[in-house]
Amino acid sequence: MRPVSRLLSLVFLVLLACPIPALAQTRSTELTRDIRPRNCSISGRVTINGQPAANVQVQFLEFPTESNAPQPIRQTVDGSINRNTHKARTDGEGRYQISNLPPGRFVVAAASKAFLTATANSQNNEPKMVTLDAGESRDNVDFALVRGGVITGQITDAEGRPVIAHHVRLAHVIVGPDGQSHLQNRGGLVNSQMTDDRGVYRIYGIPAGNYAISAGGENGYFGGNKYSQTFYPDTPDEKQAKAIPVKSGEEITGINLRLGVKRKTYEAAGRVIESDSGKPVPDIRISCQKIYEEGSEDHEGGYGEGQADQQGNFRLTGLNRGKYSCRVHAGWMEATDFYAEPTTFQVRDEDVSGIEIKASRGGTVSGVSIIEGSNDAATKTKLSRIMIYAYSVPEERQEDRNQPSSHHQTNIKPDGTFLLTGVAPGKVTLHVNTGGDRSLSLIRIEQGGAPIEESIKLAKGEKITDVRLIFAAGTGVIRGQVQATSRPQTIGETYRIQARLQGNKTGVWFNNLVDEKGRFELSSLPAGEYELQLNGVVQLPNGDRRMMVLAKQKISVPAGSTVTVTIPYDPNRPFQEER
Amino acid sequence: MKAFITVFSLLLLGGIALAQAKPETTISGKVLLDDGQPASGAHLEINSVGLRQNRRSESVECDETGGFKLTGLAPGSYSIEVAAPGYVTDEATARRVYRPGETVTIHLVKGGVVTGKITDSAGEPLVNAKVKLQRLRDLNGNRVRNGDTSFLGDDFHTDDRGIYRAFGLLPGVYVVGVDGETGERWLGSENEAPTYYPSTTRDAAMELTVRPGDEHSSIDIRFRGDAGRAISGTVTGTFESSQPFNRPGLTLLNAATKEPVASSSPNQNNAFVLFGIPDGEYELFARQIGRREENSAGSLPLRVSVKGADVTGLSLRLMPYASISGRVVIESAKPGEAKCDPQAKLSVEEILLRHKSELRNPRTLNALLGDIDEAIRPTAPDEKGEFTLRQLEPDAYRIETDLPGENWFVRSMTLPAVGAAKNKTDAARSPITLKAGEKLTGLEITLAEGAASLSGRVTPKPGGNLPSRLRVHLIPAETTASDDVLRYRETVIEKNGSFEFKHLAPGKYLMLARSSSDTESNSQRPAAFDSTERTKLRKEAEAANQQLELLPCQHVKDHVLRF
Repeated sequence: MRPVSRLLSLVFLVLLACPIPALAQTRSTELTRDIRPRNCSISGRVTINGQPAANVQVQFLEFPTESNAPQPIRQTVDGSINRNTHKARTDGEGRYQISNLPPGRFVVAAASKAFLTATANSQNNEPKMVTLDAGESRDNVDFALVRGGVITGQITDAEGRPVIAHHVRLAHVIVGPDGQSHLQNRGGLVNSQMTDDRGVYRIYGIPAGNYAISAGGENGYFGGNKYSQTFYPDTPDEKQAKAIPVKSGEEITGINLRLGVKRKTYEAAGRVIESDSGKPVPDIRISCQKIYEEGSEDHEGGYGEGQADQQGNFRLTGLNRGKYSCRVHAGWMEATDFYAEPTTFQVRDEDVSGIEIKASRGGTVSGVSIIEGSNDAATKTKLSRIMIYAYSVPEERQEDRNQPSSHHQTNIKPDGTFLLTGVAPGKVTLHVNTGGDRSLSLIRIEQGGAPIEESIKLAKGEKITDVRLIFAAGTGVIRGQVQATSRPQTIGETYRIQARLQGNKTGVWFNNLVDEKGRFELSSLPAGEYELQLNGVVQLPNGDRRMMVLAKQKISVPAGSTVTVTIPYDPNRPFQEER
Repeated sequence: MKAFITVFSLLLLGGIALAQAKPETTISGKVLLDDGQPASGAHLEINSVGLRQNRRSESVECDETGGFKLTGLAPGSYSIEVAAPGYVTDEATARRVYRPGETVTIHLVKGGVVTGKITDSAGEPLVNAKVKLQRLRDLNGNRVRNGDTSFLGDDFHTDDRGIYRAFGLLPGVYVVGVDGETGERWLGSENEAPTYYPSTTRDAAMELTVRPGDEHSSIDIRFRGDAGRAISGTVTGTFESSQPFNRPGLTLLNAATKEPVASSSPNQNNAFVLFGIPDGEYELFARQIGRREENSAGSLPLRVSVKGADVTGLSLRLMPYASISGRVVIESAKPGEAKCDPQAKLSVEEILLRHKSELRNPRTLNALLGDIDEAIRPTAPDEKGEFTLRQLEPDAYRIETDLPGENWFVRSMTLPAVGAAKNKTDAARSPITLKAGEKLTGLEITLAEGAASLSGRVTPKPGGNLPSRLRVHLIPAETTASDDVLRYRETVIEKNGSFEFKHLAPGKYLMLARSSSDTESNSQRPAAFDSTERTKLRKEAEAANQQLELLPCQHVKDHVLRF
C-alpha cells in the first residue's frame, strides 16, 4: 500500500475506533438564553384576622407582558430550563421573601381560596400584580386575610336517599331598596359545589353576609333535570328562601335539603324535511331553546338538542314546559346545505310529536383571505389556524333580531380559501377567531372589490364567491404610561388599556393590563389611527366600586413603529365625554 | 287455470317480498343496580362505534323499571354508557358493542370511594389541590386504558380542610397522587414532582384495591414538594392543513408502567416544555389527529431518561400514519343453497374491523401499549361496504372482524396480486406490512352466509382436574385447508370449563384442548398465525382425534370435549 493511502487508512481506523464525543452543550433550538439579571426580590407580610400568619404558602408566577407572542422557553446559565413559578413560606412573624428573581411582571398569591381579603365587604383573595425593574426589591406586598365561612349539608330525595353529584348553589341575599330581599350571584366566588356519594356538599371561602342555598332545577350534569329548584329550608320560591347569616371563619353545618318534587320533563319528536320536495334531511342537527313571553315569571330554563336520522326523524328529551324555538345546523366543523326558519312548538303537559321543520337549501358564501403587505409562507400558514364564524339574519323580520336563521363555523383552508354552505338568505355577518394569536388582525372584508359596511346581503340560494377577508400582520407597538393627576395609584387596582383601530368596520381592538407603576404595552398592532381607552375601578361617593372609563386619547401608529404615549387621568373621577 | 297460477305466484312472490324484514332500528333493555333493583332514572348515552363521519350520539333515561328504548337507529354498531351517580358499569358490559334489534341488560356496580387529607410539606392543609386517582389494572389484573377511573373523570379536589373524597370509582387497582396543583389555573405548570400515597415517590407508591362499594378512608398524603425536572424540545413535521385549534399533543408515559405522567402542546414556535417530572425512565410521543382523523400523524416514541437534570433539545418528528382501505364483499349465495334465515339481512355497517399489530416494530406506540386491547378503536364500513383503517404505525398487521348476528363468516381476506403473481395475496395467512405513511388499498374481505356455531364444555379425564388455564382449538380437518388461517380458531375456556365459537365456516374440524401458561393474556396472538405452530396443532389434534363436522347454519350446543 502506498504511504499516503496507508496514512489515510490509519486515520480512518482511528476515527472509527474513537467514538466522536457528543458536541458539548449545543444550545437546543427551542430554548432562548436567559440573560436577565437575577437581582430582584419581593417581600411582604401575611396576616389572618390581623395576626401574623406563619407557614403560609405564597406563590409567584412570572407573567408575560407580551401576551401575543408565545412565551419563550428560557435556558438559564447552568443549562436548566427557567421555572416561571416560585414558592415561599411565611416565617413566625408572617413575613415572606423571595429573592434572585429576574425583572418582569409577577402575579403573587397567598394562602388559598379558603381565605378572603380583609376589606369592608371582603373581596375574594385575589392575587396581586408586581412589576419589577432590574435590581428592584419590592417590599410590603402584604396580604391581610380573613378565613372565609363554610356552609355544609346534605341533599336527599323524597325517599331520604342521597342525591349524588348534584350541584348546590350559593346566592347572596340582598335587601333591595324596596325592602324586598332578592338573590344575587356573587362574582368570582365558588358559588356552586357538587354533592358527593353521601349527598354531602361543602362550600368554603364565603365572605361574611347572608346567603341562600338551593339545589335542583337546571343542574347541568348528565340530564340532572329531575328535581324542581328548591331553596333552603324547603321552598320553590326564592323570595321565601331563608337567609343564612355567615360570619368570617364560621362553619355552618346541617343546611340540608330534601328534593321532593320530581320534575317532569317531556320529549319532543319530529322530522326535518326539505320544504320543496318533502324529502327527509338526514343527519342535520337540531337545537331548540326555550323562549319566554314578555313579563313572564317563568324562570325555568329549557334546551334540547338532537340529530336527525336517515329518515330525518329526531327526538329531543329532558324538556321543561314552555315554548321552544328550533333551528337546524351542521355539527361542529361539519357542513350542511340546509337552513330552516325558526320553528316553534309548545310543551304543555305531555310529550310533543309531529314537529315538522321545513328546511331549504341555503346559499353559499365563499372567497379568499389574504394578508395585506405580507407574502412570507410562515405568516400565510397562520391563516389556516383561523376560524370563521358567520350568521345570517333575515332581512325582513327586524323584531326577531335575536333569532338568526343560520349559524356557521368553518376554517380557512391552507390555500387561503373558505366556504360556507347552507346559508339562509338575509344579512350575513362574518367574524373571525384567531385562537389567541393576535399577530393577525382582520381589518377589512370586501365583496366584489369594495369594502362591506356591516354584512353581506344574500338572496335565497345565491352563491356569492367574491368575498375577501383582508388581514394585516401587525408589528406596531404602543408603550405608554398612565399618570394619575390626583392621588397616586395603589397596587391592586386593576386598570386595563384598550386600543381600538379607527376607520374599520371589523372591530379591531387590543387590550392589556396596566401594571402597578402605570405602564402598559400593546403590540402586534397594524398601522393606523387608534383610540386608546383607560378603564379602571372607581370608588363612587356611596362607597360602591365600579369599573369605568377613566381616559380616552387618540394616537397614530405607523407600520412597524413603536410609539410612546402618556395618558393623564384622575383616579377619582371617570372620564366625561365632551358634548 | 294458467291465469290463476300466475296470480297465485304473483301473490306468493309479493308475500315473500313482504316477509323480508326491514332493518331493525331499536335497541332496548334494562339497567339494573348491583342488588338487582332497577336503576330507574339512570341516564344512558349511546354512541355509534367505528364511524369517522356522521357519528351519532343519543341519550335516553331509564323508566321506573330501569327499562329504556332507543329508536330510529341507523344500521351500525353502538356502545352504551350509563351514568347513574355513584354507580359504574362493570367492565365486561362497558366494552360491549350492540346492534339494532338487540335487547340488552346492563348491570351497574357501586362505585368505590377513596378519601383522605392532603397536607403540604409544613403540615398545613393543601386547599383545592387536585388529587389524581390513577387506575392501573382492573380486578382481573388486566391493564386498562387511561382515563377510565370514575364516571366523573379523575377531577377530585381537596376542600378548605385539605380533605378530598373521590367517589364513583371503577373497580380496580389504583395509586393516588397529588401534584401540588391547587386549581388556580393562572398559576401555570407545577414544577414539583407529584407525591403518591403514602407520601412517597411513584416507585414506592402503595397500590389500593377498590372493589365495588369499597370505601378506603385515611388515604392521607403529605405533599413532599420534591423538585421536578423539566423536559423540552420541538415537534417537527406538523402540518397546517385544516388544523385550526388542533395543535399536536405530547404525552409523557412512565416507561415501566405506561402511566401518563405529563402532557402538553407545543407553542406557536413548535417548542414544548414539560415541568414537574421526577427522575426516571419515560417514553415521549406526539400526535396530531386531523379532523375526522384523516391526515393524522404521529411520532415514534422517544425514550427519555431523567437523572438529576433537565433534558433539553429533544426532537419529535410527526410522520403521517399509514392506512388500509378496502371493501367488504358479500358472497352471493349459490343457487339452491338454503339461506340460514331468509328474514335476516346483513347490514354491512354493523361489521366492525380492528387492526392487530404483530408488534414487530419495537419503536411504536403499539409495542409500548400493546396489551391494552381497548386502545385500538374499531372501524365500521359504510353502506357500500367500504372502509379505511387509519392511524396505523409502520408495522405488520392482522385484521380482526366482529360480525353481527350468527349467520355470517369470513370466507377470505385478500389483497391485489403482487407483481407477476396471478393470484391475489392471502391477507389472512401472512400479516399486512405497512411502511410509514403508506396508504394501502384493495383489501377485500369476503363474507359468506351459512356460518355455524359451536359451544360446549371441556371435561377432565375421569378422576382428574382441569388445569387453571385451558385453551380450546379448532383446526380444519381437510388437508386442503391446512393453510387457511381463517379456519383456525382458539379461545380460552371460562371458569366453568365452557367455551363458545361463532361465525365458523362450515366443514370438518379437529378439536384440541391444550393447557396454556398463566402468563398468557386473554388476547394473545393466535398460534395458527405461524405455519410451524399450525403443523404442531394439527399433529396434536390428530393424535387427540376429536373430530366434528359442522353443516351450514348449524348451531351446536353442549358439545363435550375431553381434555
